[in-house]
Parts: sequence; structure tokens; C-alpha cells
Amino acid sequence: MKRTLSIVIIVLLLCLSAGAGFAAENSPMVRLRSGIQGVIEVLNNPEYKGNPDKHPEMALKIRETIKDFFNFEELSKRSVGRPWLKFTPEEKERFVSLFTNLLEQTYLGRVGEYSGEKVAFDKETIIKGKYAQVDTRLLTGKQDIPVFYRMKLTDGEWDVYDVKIEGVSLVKNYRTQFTGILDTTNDQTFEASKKELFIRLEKKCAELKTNPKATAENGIK
Amino acid sequence: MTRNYSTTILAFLVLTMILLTFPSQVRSEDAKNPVMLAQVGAGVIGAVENNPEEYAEDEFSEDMWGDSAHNEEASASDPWQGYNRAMFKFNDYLYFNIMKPVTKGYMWAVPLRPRTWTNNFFQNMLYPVRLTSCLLQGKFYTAGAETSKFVANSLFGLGGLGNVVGEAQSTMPLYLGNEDMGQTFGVWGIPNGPYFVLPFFGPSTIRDSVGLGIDTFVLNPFWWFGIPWYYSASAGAYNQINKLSFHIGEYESLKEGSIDPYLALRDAYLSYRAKQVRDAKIDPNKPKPQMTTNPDAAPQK
Repeated sequence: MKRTLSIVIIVLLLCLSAGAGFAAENSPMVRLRSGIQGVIEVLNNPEYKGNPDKHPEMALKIRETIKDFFNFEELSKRSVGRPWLKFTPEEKERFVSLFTNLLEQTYLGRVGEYSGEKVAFDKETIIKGKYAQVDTRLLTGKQDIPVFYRMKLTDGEWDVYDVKIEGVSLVKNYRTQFTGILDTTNDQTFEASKKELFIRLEKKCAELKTNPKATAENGIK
Repeated sequence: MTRNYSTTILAFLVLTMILLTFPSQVRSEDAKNPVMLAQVGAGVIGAVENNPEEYAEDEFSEDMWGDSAHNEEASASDPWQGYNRAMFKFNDYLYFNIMKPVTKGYMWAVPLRPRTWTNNFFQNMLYPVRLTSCLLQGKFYTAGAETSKFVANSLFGLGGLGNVVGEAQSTMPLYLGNEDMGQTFGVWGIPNGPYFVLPFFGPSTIRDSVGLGIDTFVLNPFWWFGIPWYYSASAGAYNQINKLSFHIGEYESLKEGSIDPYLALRDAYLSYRAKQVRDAKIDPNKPKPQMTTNPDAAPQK
């Protein structure tokens, strides 16, 4: 009786520790932390800090670091939604590069506003062994801002494909916009609206490149 | 002989217990998540009616996160898009040409501290709005916290100018949700109705507009003591300018990255409101993080 109990307990313990061991080996949370930590390290690099001449170099470095743990392809795919399946491979490639560019131009400036805040990692949820959500909080001192990262396992690596803050999901926000432009009633309207989408994306990227912020500052023209 | 017998029974019982409790635990924890349920069920029992692989094939599905209800709440019905877009343009023009310059001038003239006092004063003044909504939603704990904050700030904070109830130092966990009537209606299960851009106030829905009307004209103490309406209205406008001074740049950020600012703002508003409505059971205790980033780390040489 006693022996059986101890065997059961040992088996149970083994099961638990095996699960924990697997989680730690390739954990989305660990991966996300090292990704964000990498960005912080670039920002703290004394080579760049307080050296405006090296800003383009730093921006490039940050961009590379972010690309390493963000899956922009998945992000683009989900932002477009189902019409993505009707994009040609060239169009997909073009879209990913344009959209990545847009996101970088918009949010890279924000990264520079970092002033030593900590990011706390609270919880990870893995679904189907392939999707994960990591609950984090940005500790600003006054107020914590919860940020949820959604990640996907591709080629054995967890990569971010969506960020959710205050109930607003990055992917869904863009999907609302793209769906508003793409008209899938028939092939003709779809082709035309797809062209329109690319034109608008290109225009936005050009605007952001020539004069970041100015477009937003001046209101609608 | 009897000993062996009991061993078998025990092993059988333990195994049955594990098999039976595992899926039901998942079910009780997250009853609205059929994917998870199907998945666990399939793993344990080995047979399930719905093929869980169905979900895996649909690469665009977000159902697995259990936030379908949130997305439902945040989905837009926008039959008056023509009017809404026009009003959006009007508000946008107003923001960049009147509100923003005025607020910038105000920020130049009035330092951060007095602006914070003003903000505290108005926040304190609008206590009846939040209290009513807390009570109507059955959030009695939050109602208590709001009341304690109101009493403390009114008595010790010079009539609400100060905020003596610190956010972090207080022993009572104050998770104040900034409740309003729109959220209360949402909690009661009243849907958003069509998206509706209000002049001056910005994005809203039919439900939230009604809520805002009640909050502004019924629950706002400015209307209670026979104060002439133009004083109340000016006070309200001043409160808006003062509030905006803490949020300048947020709208610009959203607009900067969007290719259709109208749709971007619509989604942001509806998603944010959906989150506010559904935040009924926030744990007042902050979770203990499993890990944090190191803000001082620099690359090793």
C-alpha cells in the first residue's frame, strides 16, 4: 500500500518535472525576454548613447534585433486576413516589405523614448504547441501598462506576430483598415482595390520617410 | 492476496481520477474555449467529435485565444459611415487647429503641477458618475474604494486638488476602473449599436452616447445647484483642455502609422471600450512576474 502510493507520487512528480523541463527548454517567454533585452542593450550601448551621429547606425541595429524575434510575414498575413491567400508570391513579398517598413518608420521613433522602464513577464500560455501568448507589463513607475504578445512557433523558434495593448490588437487594427480598402466582391474589384492598397502603402511609407511625424502633425489634407 | 488486490484498486482509482479530472478541470477553468476542450479531450480520451485539426488548418482563426467575445463586442456596425467620416474630419480639423494650439499655449503657461491639481479636482468632482456606475454594475468593492478616495481627497486634499490617496502606497488596493454609464450598459448586456462620431467628443457608439449624456447632464454635479449652464459648459471645456494636456501626441501616434485613420481610430475606440466593459474582474493584486528585463544591461565588450 505504502509502496504503491510512493510509486504513484514519484510518477506524478516525474510527469510534472518533465512538463516543466520542456517548457523551459524552448519557452516563448524566455525568447521574448531575450529579444526585448537585446533592444534595451542596443539602446544602452555607450557607443550610441548621447551620440547623435550614430543614430542611423543604432536604428539599423534595433531594426535587426527586432526582426530577429518578430515574424513580419505572419504579421502581414494576419493583418490582411483571408484575401492574403489570393495574393501572388511577389505581391506577398512586396506587401511584407512595405508593411514592415511602415511599422518600423512609425514605431522605431517610439523605441527611442525608452528611459529605463522595466518589463515584467507574468505568464505564458501555449496553445496547440504552436501558438503562445506572453502576458507582460511595462512598469512605468506610475502605472503598469499590460502588453500581450502573441507568438507562433516557426522552424523551431517562437516569433511575435501580434501585440495587444489596452484591448487594441496591432494586427486587428490594421486588418480593419486593409479590409476597408480591399474589395473582394469579384476578381476585378479585388485586383483594382489591391492596386489601391499598394499605392496607399507606398505613399504612406514615402511620407514617413521624407518627413516623419509631419504628416500627422498637420492634420488631414 | 488481499494486499495485491487493494493495490490494483488503488492504481485503478488513481488513474481514473487523473483521466476524469484533467479535462473537467480545463472545462471549469475556461468553459468557453471549445478548442482547448477539444484538444485536451482528444489527447486524453483519444476520440472527439470535432476534429481539432480543423482549427489548425484555418491559419487566420484567432478563436483559440478565448477572446472571441471581446472581438464580438469590438466589431463595428457602421451604417452611417458617410456622416461619421465627415464628422471625423471635422473633429480632426478642430483638434489640429483649435484644441491642440490652445492646449499647447495652456501647457506653456501652466506648469505640470497645477495642471495635475486641476485634473485631481475634476476627477474628485465627478465622483458621483463613477460611484453610480460602480453600484449599478454591482462592483461594490470598487465603489468603496472610490468613496474612500473621494472622502480622503475632499477632506485632506484641499477639496480634491491633491491626491492624497497614492496609487501605490495605499494599503487598500485601489483598482479604479473609471467606470461610466456606457460601460454599465455594456455590463448589462446592451450591445454597442451603430458606431457614431460625436461632434467635439469624438468616437462613440449609440450606447456610449446615451451613457455619456447621462454622465454629463444627470450625474455631473455641475448641473445640480442651479449653476447657469454656460458656467458648467465652460468648466467642462476647461476640464477637456486640461485633460488633453496630459494626452497630447497620442492621437498623432495613432494617425501616423495608419493608412486609414478613420478606421484605425474606430477599431481602437471599440477595442478599448470592449476591454473596459469586460474588465469586471480585475485582480487588484498585481501578479508576481516570473522574470523582468534588466534596464541597465549593456552589451559585453
